[in-house]
Amino acid sequence: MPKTKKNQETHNIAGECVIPLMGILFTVYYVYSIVDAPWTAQVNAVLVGTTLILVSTLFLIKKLHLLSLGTVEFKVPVTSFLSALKTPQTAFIATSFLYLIFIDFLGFTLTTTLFFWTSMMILGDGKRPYHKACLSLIMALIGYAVFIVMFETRLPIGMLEQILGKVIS
Amino acid sequence: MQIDAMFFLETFLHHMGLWWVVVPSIFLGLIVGGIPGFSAANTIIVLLPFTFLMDVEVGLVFMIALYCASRLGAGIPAILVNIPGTAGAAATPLDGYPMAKKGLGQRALAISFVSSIIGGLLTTAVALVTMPWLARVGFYMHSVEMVVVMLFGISLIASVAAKDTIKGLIAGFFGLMIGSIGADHVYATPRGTMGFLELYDGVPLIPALVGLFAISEAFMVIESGSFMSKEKIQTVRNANWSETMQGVKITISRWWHVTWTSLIGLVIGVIPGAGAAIASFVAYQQSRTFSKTPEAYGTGHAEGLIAPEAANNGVTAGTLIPLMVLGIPGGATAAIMMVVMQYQGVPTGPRLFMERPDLGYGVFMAMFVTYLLMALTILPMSRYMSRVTLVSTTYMSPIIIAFTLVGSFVPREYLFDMYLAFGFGIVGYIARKTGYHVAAILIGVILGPLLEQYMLRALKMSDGDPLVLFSSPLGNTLWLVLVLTLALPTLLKKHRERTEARS
Repeated sequence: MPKTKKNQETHNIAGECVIPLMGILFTVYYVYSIVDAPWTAQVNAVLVGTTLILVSTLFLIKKLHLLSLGTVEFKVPVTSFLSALKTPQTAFIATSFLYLIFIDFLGFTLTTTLFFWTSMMILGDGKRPYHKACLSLIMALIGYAVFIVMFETRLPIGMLEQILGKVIS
Repeated sequence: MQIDAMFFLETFLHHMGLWWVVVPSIFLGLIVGGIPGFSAANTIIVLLPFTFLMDVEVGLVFMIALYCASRLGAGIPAILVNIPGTAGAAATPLDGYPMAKKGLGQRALAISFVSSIIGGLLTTAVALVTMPWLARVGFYMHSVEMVVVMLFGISLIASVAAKDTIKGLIAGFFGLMIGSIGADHVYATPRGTMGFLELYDGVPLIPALVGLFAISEAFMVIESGSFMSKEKIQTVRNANWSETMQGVKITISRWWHVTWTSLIGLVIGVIPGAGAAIASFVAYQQSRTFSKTPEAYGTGHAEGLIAPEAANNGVTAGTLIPLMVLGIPGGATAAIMMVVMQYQGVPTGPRLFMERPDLGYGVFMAMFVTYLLMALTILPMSRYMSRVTLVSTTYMSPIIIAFTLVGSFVPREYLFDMYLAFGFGIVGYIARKTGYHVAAILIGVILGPLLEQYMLRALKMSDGDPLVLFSSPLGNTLWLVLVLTLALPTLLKKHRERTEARS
């Protein structure tokens, strides 16, 4: 059936329900974690948690009502989700997560250089790789100078920091 | 030593002569204030050996200048790229960032700088005159009164949620719930920690701040490829010095607004443990309540930027008053100053003003000189700073992610905090994409644990009787003011509508 203009404009409420559901689930877990605790630990969950569940439930009931009237739709956008996985944005988010994992093994400076270069290549359509490599290295070295040398932050140390440390000393 | 006008003039001129300490400290303060995770307190700790080597007066001037500049510096990334440098600047992007997105970053920076500087100068002058009386505020503010002060800040959620009340409330209470994670304040029972030892002390503020604002923003802006549209980019490119002057004019024309919001900061700063975050939230909420155009807040309204900036700079003078007058540090930086003073054999408290009035009053004069020199050094830089918004997100997003993740690591030096910041980034991204206000979540995360702490203390003292919250005259006055400020916008709106209908 061809889509009418009205159908195309129907608002999908699936996304809006994520935060209230997260709130309800977390509150249930929170309450579970303090079942046997003294009242001083429970008072906050009673006041804040109950209000959060109440407000979230009201929101969901309101949305269900709109859904029954047909003014909104609830559709988990599987197709657009799958196509979104192929976008540079998703690749960038994944690279950011990998940065967290590798920083512990490779050290701050090397991981940051690699992260900068990979991210800039992803977001910049792979153009000017050498320019981006130089920029990444310079930015990572500035980070090393500020965070590790100047402010003596105990960021994970890798091979590059050991070499730089020996050069500086 | 006679304390008269000549004494203050001599102290002022003497501190002006220390410009060679003040100016580099200002620039260092701007850097540490602008990077989330760094603060004046931890920078001073790192540089503590140097301050011990300095003459006590030079050391104090260095710390004061760094402290004031870091407060001002925290607002710069908050305005330009929606990343508050410290929790004290968490209310700044509410109106600062929308201004920058309109291509008015230079003007927004000028407004922020001038309101910070005027707020700082004014509160320093007021502090000098009213120190003995203001120092007593801390004595009258007990847990019951603090519960009401916290509620002033938390009621900002209602203002943030003005466009979509139910979503705003969900975001706010979700934040309050996240803020409840950690050991309870009386018996240290772990609550909602998911087994992570790192969460026993509660959710650390910097990862929450970095994740909700910076990381989610970095994920958002790559969709558009730029912080603003092409027309707005052109506006930034065409901007000249008149934009800075426009910002100065806007702020000076609202001098009364700067005055009373900075005084809110001063009074809250005097209360030990309160801090700049509460001051800026309360000032923003009060500013919106008494505004003739409350609907303009959150869209890039000048008064919405002036209020938090003037207030968080008002806190700087307030924090030092208990240290100077009573010998009780009002915050982390003040505590470090006390260590330096004790190491150098300088007394704190009432003896300071009897034995070393040059140092006692000198601290406030150094603050005065710092704000004056900031007007000369930082204000002209607003034009160049605003160009940050022109940098392509191809370069900016990775820089934001890497350096803010490192910033979230710095305060506790746990890798866990970097993961936590990333987690908050994902929550912030989902919230933004689905129309929930991340500021409402953050207000809950920052003020929730404080509210719980004061409330539990009050309830514990009264054996669980909730009526204790209405047991003190000052507390009841504050309750009345709170109810009035919450009801006033609606009453004023109705009054205006009636007046318009009649005319």
